[in-house]
Amino acid sequence: MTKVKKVMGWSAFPSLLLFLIFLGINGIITGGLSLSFFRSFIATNAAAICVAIGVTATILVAGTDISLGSIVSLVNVVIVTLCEKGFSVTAAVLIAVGCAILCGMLNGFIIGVMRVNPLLTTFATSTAFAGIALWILPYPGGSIDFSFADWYSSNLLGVIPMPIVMILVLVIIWIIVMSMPAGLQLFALGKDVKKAYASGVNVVALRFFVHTFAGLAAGIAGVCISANTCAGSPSIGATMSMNSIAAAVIGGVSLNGGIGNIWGGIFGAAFLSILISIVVSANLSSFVQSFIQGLILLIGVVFSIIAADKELKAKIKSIFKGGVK
Amino acid sequence: MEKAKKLNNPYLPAIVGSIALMILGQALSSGFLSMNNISSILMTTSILTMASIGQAAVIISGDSGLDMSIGAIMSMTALFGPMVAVGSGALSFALMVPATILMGAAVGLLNGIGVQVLKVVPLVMTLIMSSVVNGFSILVTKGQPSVTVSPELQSISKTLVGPLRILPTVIIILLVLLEVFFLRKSKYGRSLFLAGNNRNAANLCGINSKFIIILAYVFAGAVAGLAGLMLVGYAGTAQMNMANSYTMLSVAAVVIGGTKLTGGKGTFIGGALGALVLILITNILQAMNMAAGLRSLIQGIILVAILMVNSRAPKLRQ
Repeated sequence: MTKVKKVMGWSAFPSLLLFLIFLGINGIITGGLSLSFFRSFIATNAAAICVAIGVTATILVAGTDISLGSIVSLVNVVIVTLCEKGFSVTAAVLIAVGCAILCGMLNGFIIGVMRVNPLLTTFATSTAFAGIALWILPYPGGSIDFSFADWYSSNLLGVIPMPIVMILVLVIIWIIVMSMPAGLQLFALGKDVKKAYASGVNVVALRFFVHTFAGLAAGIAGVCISANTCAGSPSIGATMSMNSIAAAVIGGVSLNGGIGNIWGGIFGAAFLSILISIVVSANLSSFVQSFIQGLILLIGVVFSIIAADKELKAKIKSIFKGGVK
Repeated sequence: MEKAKKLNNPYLPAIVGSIALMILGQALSSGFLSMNNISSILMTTSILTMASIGQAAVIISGDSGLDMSIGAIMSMTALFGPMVAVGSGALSFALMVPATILMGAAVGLLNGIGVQVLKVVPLVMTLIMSSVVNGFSILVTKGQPSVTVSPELQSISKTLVGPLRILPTVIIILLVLLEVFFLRKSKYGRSLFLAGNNRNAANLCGINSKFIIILAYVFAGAVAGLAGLMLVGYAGTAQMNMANSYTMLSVAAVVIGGTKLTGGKGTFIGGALGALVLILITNILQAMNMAAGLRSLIQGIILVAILMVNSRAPKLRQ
């Protein structure tokens, strides 16, 4: 019983529930869930999940990052351009991920060292990053060798699909950080900056790290999306940054900082992705789709916020208890 | 001493910035300070100013208030406003203005209810509302906006007063009136500042801060609705999501104008000056005939520079 309660109280639980419910609905609509569905689902949406992990990390320290979508576009464009210039795919991918980390470090520097508001900083840098992407590749186009796509759809050690490996890389880094003292300090920083600083938390270094991690996450997301499409587009990640913030909130991550974990971000992003695939497969006219997506997103966020509201929970509990009496 | 104090006002960076940008623009391309270009700069500035007035009201209301749906509301009213057609052109134009204001206010009301009653964080609530609004405009227009902008609507941006167009003049007068009578003098304006500064104190003073903050969102929506109508009147055509960039531009304008994102402080006039700086930057970069990507890169770098000078948080060690 206590175990059940512990699971129910987990901040990522509402998003997991939403994800499972909509997975079921999707199964009913498309007629059964197959392994191939999961494979293509993960392959398509690994990028969104990676970006959500990155954003979740920044939101946990009471920041935010809306430049990740632009970094994803930049990575995609860099990979395509380098491949066309004759670099090997591996070299191109490594250089592009390096660029993404540099972008994250720049964000971290401005936010951590220069103490500028994260939302405004990442808005400004997202304009700059998107500008670089558009400068390198003004029009969608270009192609990557299909061996890249084959690598992406292969399995590591014959068991784990590559997209999951990409997500796991981020998750493992995060778990390692969480097991260090820095993990606890991160939550302290998110709860209250001044108290954390007074207790000797290195605020600058933590903010710098979190945004660098977010940059790495966006870089990996860019690799995933490039491998999945094998083509370049300077605006491929434009909608990702906003969706990832919504995903994090659905996953029970508090925008005020200090509450939540990256599993919330992962399940939130998975829920949003399955939602989009349901709306697409429900055969609605394309004009209705975006409206319905927005509405369900709204309901999802309101639901998860109400679910996390302790006062409301207490009220509902007291109603139930009153009924029993 | 008095003078030094006056110099150290929050508008100073924006004023200095815009003068420097004007000189730079003139140095880079000789026709920059011609009457024609100035009047077109003022025109676009006045549209962004409208958006930033709404944004400023929401930011002042505090509680990490932010309206990310301003661009979506503007796009929506830019599409729907010209659809109002009743009889003669002048009559339908007279109906368009209240119709767009109402449309915007309705979205603002939903935002306010979401933020204050359902307790969704403003950033997320308005962000999601913007995707709902964008989806709604696609639903209604079926993705193919067929907007014919009537001559009456176009005339608001074309009528001239001397060498300048009439709209910026109207906006500037409106702005000063709003600043003085809405924000500074009215009972509502005072309670808005108090609610933004300290909600508990406001509640203890008998102010219904929930209601006040919801009204701020309604106001922002209404103003954004009107701004959308102005935008379509100026542009002459409407496209899907044409005003989406105005969301973050309005936030940036308000911040450059010296308003802090923490709420409880701020001015409308500062937002107008910030809007002028942003439009000047865009205009100079366009005048230099750069590639779109490079332009956006430089815009981003300038924004970062402005932010680093203008809005750094105080040091933690005190």
